[in-house]
Amino acid sequence: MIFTKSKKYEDITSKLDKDNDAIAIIGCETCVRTAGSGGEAKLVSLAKQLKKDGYNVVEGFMIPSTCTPKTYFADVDSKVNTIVSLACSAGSSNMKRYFPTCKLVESIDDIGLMVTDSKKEIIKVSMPYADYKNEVNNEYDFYTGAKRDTNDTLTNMEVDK
Amino acid sequence: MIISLRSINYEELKNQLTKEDKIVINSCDTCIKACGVGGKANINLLADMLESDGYNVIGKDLISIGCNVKLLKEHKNDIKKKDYYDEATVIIPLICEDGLEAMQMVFEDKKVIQITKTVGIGNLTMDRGVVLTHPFENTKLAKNDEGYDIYELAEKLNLYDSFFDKNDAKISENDMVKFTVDGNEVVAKKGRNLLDVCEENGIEIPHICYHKDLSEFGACRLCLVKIKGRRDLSPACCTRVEEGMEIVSKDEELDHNRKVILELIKSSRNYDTYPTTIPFGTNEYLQMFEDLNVDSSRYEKNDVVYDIDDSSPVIRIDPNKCILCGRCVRACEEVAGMCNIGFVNRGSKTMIAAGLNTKMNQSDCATCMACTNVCPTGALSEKYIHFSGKDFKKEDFHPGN
Repeated sequence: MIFTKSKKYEDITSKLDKDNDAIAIIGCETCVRTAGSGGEAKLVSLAKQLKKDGYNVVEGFMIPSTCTPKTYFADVDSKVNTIVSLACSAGSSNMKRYFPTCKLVESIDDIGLMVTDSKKEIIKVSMPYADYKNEVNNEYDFYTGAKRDTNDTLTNMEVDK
Repeated sequence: MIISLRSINYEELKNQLTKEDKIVINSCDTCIKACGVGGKANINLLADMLESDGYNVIGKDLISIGCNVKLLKEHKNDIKKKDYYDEATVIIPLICEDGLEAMQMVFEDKKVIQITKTVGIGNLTMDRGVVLTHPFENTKLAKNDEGYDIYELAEKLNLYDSFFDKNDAKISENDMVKFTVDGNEVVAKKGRNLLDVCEENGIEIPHICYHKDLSEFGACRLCLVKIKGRRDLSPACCTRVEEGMEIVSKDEELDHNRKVILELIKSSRNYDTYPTTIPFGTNEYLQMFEDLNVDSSRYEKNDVVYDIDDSSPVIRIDPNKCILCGRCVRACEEVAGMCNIGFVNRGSKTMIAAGLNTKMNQSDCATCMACTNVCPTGALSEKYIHFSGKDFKKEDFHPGN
């Protein structure tokens, strides 16, 4: 799976225009939800914050996996001219492909690939991109992306005999 | 989606094996399948190739998500798989390098052979298959929103654009059998599944409980065929091909049986109560009614309207569309390794649910989607959600309609 982190809120709003942008937020339900940078709760909270700050958020979509043609089913309103992507960069590339006339604003950064343990709810960064090479073997919590203090679980896990 | 290509050829794979090795071939069923290297069909192909060349393949296993350590451990300790995993000396995982790391953690006492190179992340497209949009730096490729397809990548990175070629193995003629279906001669490897072989030879036999990625169940009885010398009808999905078989897959009697079964299925559920979601897939259930020309049922309709289980963040269960084929139950057990869902209640109230009829969000579901991937009716489906209006009201939508 792909490990990601949320961009700062200001990095997103710096690319948005309160007067002219009619926004649809499109979120992915797969890796970013597990990594804590996406998912339904994140989408709703981002939409509420943007609305509160005066941005014109028209609608939102949760799509099972935005790196696939399922993104096609986000049938955005004709007045939408800006997509805020709550997906990894691959999902965002797909959105550019499906909504070529819209401005695309990414809200998530890729860190690299991750190994997970859904029982212990731990994420371990396995293959980071070069900019994040120091993240290798770092461990995070499922669904929040909070850094774990001790790397004592997944890498040294007990394999059931 | 993680993009990976095959990195070694068949000879290089064999050079890492001995004839004494006890080999398990397993595969992740997610990104690597879309990349053409993973999936059940490729597990079977590689097993056939290695067995033909005299290697000892003792187990084959499809895993819903290979980079999830919990799921790998569930497979390793599964009561039906534990023996071959314990006995194995070599694991050949059809998996990306990320999954390989998980595989090496769980099978630390085995030789785990790497057959792929992972090159970054990208998309599955309708027209070009998978494409790499965000390469790892070691590929020296630039980011590209349109993406590099598998053929470009294979050429640029000196990798392979497809799975191993079956012609690289020495499949002996002694392994093959000849038989007839509806009078036409068919040749196939001895012991293969009759339904699969028929499909590969363009002979369509109706079926609904059988799925290539799952074990045979023989429950729906739609694929019953006549085999000369056998007293009763035989389910094609549970029949292994043998030399000299004479099979009838379609005649008036078999058609009649199949129509009666479909009428019974149709009467058992209020299928049209809610919209159905099978985006990009075929609704096998509706297709079968069309194929067999069945549009009504003579039997008393079960008017019970079942509650939808909408509790999971990603899966929606609509029992009104469930025809109890059991594919999801087997997928959860065999592909997820979880046994999380099953049949609950009895008689006309029988349905699919987590645990002892609890909600999905109270279960141990790993949201691997093994169940939704095989559901033929849309009873288990991925959720699509739309938010709109002043208060950002949440509503499911159903792109399969």
